Amino acid sequence: MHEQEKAPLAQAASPDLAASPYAVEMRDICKAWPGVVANDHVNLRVQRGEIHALVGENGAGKTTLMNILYGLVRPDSGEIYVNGERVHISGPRDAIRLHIGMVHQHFMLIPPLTVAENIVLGQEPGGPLAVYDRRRARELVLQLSARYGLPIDPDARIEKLSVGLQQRVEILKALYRAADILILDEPTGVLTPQETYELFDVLRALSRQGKTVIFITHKLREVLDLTDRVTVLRRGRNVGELVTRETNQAEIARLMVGREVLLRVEKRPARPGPVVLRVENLHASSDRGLEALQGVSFEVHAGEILGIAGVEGNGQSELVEVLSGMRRATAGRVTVTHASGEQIGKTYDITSMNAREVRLVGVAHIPEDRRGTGLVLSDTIENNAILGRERWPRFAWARFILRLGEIAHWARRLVREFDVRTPSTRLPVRALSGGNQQKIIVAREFAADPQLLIAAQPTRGVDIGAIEFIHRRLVEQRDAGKAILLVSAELDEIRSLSDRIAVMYEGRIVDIVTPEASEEELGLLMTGGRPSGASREEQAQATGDSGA
Amino acid sequence: MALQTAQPRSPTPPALETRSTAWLLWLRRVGSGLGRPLLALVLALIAGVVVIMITASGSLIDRFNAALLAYGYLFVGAFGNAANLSFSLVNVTPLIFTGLSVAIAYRARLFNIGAEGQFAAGTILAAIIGLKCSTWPGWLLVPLMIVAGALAGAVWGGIVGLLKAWRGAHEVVTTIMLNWIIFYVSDWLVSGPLQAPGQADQTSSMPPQTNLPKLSVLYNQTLGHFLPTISQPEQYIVDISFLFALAALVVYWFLMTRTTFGYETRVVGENPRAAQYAGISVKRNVVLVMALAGLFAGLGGTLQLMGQYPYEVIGQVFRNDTTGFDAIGVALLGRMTAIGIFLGALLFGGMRQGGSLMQLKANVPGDLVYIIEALVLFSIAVQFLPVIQQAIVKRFSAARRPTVVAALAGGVVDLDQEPTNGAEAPMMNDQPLPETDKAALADGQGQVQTPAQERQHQQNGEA
Repeated sequence: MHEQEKAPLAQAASPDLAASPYAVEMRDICKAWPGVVANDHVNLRVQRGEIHALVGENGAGKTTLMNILYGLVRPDSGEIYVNGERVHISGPRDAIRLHIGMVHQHFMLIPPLTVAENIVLGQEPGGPLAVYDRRRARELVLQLSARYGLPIDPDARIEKLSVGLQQRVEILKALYRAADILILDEPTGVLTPQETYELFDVLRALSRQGKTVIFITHKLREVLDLTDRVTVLRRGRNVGELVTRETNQAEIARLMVGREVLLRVEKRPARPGPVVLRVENLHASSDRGLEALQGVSFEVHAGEILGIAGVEGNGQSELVEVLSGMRRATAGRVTVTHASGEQIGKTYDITSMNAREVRLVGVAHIPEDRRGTGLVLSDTIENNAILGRERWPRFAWARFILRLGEIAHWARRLVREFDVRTPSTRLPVRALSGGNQQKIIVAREFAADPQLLIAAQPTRGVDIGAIEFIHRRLVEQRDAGKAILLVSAELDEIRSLSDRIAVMYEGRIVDIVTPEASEEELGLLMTGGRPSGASREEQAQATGDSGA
Repeated sequence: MALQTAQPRSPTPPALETRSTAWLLWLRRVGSGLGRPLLALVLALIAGVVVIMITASGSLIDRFNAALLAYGYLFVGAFGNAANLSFSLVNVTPLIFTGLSVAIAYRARLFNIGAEGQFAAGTILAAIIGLKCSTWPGWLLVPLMIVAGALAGAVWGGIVGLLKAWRGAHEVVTTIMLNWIIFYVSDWLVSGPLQAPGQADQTSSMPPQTNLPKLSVLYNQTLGHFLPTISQPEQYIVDISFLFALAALVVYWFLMTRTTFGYETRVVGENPRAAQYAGISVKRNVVLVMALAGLFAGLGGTLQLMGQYPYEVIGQVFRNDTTGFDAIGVALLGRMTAIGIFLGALLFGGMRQGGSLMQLKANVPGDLVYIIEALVLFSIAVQFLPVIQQAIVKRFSAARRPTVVAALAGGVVDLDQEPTNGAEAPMMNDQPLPETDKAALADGQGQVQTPAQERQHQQNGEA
């Protein structure tokens, strides 16, 4: 706390000391964790009123740098200037006083409280006797909401809001604390495309009102769409400071990864084999008891990737859960036919199987929520490498006694083959970066030599290098004759990987199109519209089945 | 200004080799496993010194000597000679069984407050069988009583599991209620159907053929033929149920670390959603785990009934007995590991025994051991120890950061998050090779959240 005395906080906060064009300037920031240098003499200059992208792969030090700026982490050395004034930030409290606000990747909201309560939390308007003034809080939030054009219902409970609206609350929270400099840590990772566009509009509007935005991301399209300038980090060092207008995706990607990156997946035309997955008139309910699947029918062949496109929440999650045995179907039929291996030609009805049985039949599943579903974060890499397969004869004698040597060997193999960066397979998975966590799941599911691979959001929240890697592996698996069902909210991903694209809307497959379909056509299908003249064979089949 | 390359000015940290990493991981596991309980114990003992010094008379030196003397007698009374040790082990045995009961449940993140009730259920069924079939031969009756007692405990625990799995009833509530049910059943049996003729509220003694032999007697009868015999074996009262307890520890260790059951229990406890994903039935597992927890506790009760004087159930014994509740402390102190539970039971059982000698010789009230026990548990429960630990580590490592030592204590972790998001704390996201494990992370949260909340309060004040 000794730095606090030196901190000229009060002066720095006043805007007329704007001698420097930079709202934030960080010079020679160093921060080392044991075993790794997160920031190695990093410089960052953010002009007032601009939207500045901070990009880099996972592990490049972006979040560390921003945590330093927000006072969550103390740098080992380096200087920070806000509006030209040298400051010492020893905690978020200092950062807030300097009008810096941060929207974290994982929201810091209290679900049972209302929007207004969450926004004013910590700086509640108090009446006499410091009693919380509910009406005043509502008013303040409404004023704020009107001033920045961020409509929100102040009385809604956070838990009832969509992720996009929750993020809006986070932004309002920062604005309520009079933030002039807004840091957003990978804000689009959890958003649907529509929500992303809305967020961009909001950020542009804030920027027009003179707010400075620092936008952490590793999605290059967003950088080009939204930002004014870009700072690129790689392995804790600056590798570039660019003006967005003067650069392109390939250059940024090369700087981030340190080599040329194939942004487009290289693949040969598919050579589809026999049908592996057949889904007939599938119905299922969501957690809330609504009918999430209303007669879904499609087929996936061996050696092809079928992409499921759609705005999130149109039944994709439920579809994946039913297929992988995590949710019961209320009607319909799902079968899996082996297209290779010892049991070639054998068909299994997996409609009412649980996840273990489905896996035994040869279905692998990369779940959409890796931290919440696909991994036990506190457990070691070794133990996570056999999750769902712990009773297989290979890993357990008599389905009961674990073969620890074999498991360790297996885990080391997965780590090696899938390039998971870790010093030891005995580390808890929590200690790994998001990309490496995802690689463990991908490795586990691929290595089991499945007939059918269900990949739900396989690259969500992982960096470019890992995305390239996972995409390449998916295509490899396809070429090896596996059937792959790819569900993704990233339209680019669906279009570049899929051999056919099924579009879901409100629990139905509205059409199955080729990847050459235009973005407009897909967009229209995703929102329930149907392009005129699009009467394909699959469409007839889908409607026929759903009517049955 | 397209490219701005930074020079590698700062020294790169030494790359961690695989072998040294493995060794460090092991060291950290041991450290985090033993370090905190030990620290808790030391702090509790220091606090105990203060308590004694306040109550003792004379100069400061005298008071301090009184405290040392008291601790001396406490230790001698617990472990000082073979007879005292044998008395201690009699306390330790049921603590191991009930400690295992709590620990097994906790592996699935179930809080078993009902060890005492399951302990009682086992005792009672074994007693009923022992009394009703008192004419049966020992070779038949002894195994029957043991199995019946264990099963009674398993049923009493299994009910909790069933209620949890199918009705969602919280196990803390149901275990407490089931405790009281069995306590009253026991009271009724002891003062009614099972009451010994002409006695107050107590049963007759178990038939003599069911009394378990003393360890020392058993030794004399077996190894004693070849090795020196123990003279006066009857004074060493610990019976063979202590061996059962040790076996139970091994079984527990094996189940939890070497079997799919232990693996799946851990998944269910740590992440039920992942269990569903893996096809592990959470409900089935919850029932099994609670039944197994009850089984261990029931076994503990049965063996105590059969192994120790007065070999009978006395009125209201269970509601005054604290074994099943001390077990929570034993399990927490032992961090749910087999070796930890053994050491924890040894500590608690030993202090109980040593307390009486301390009272007798040092004239310090025996209740001091309860104070120490409570302080140990308090230290662990409130988790303020990590903060102290960290402060110490920080002081020593400040000069030569970054070191692995800082990571050992969770020094790398800095976050400012509200508890709702704590579990998903993303602070390690940007480091490819962080040297932090779960314990260290937990420490980090414990440590940093406090200042975070402080800040929040300060903000409140300002606003």
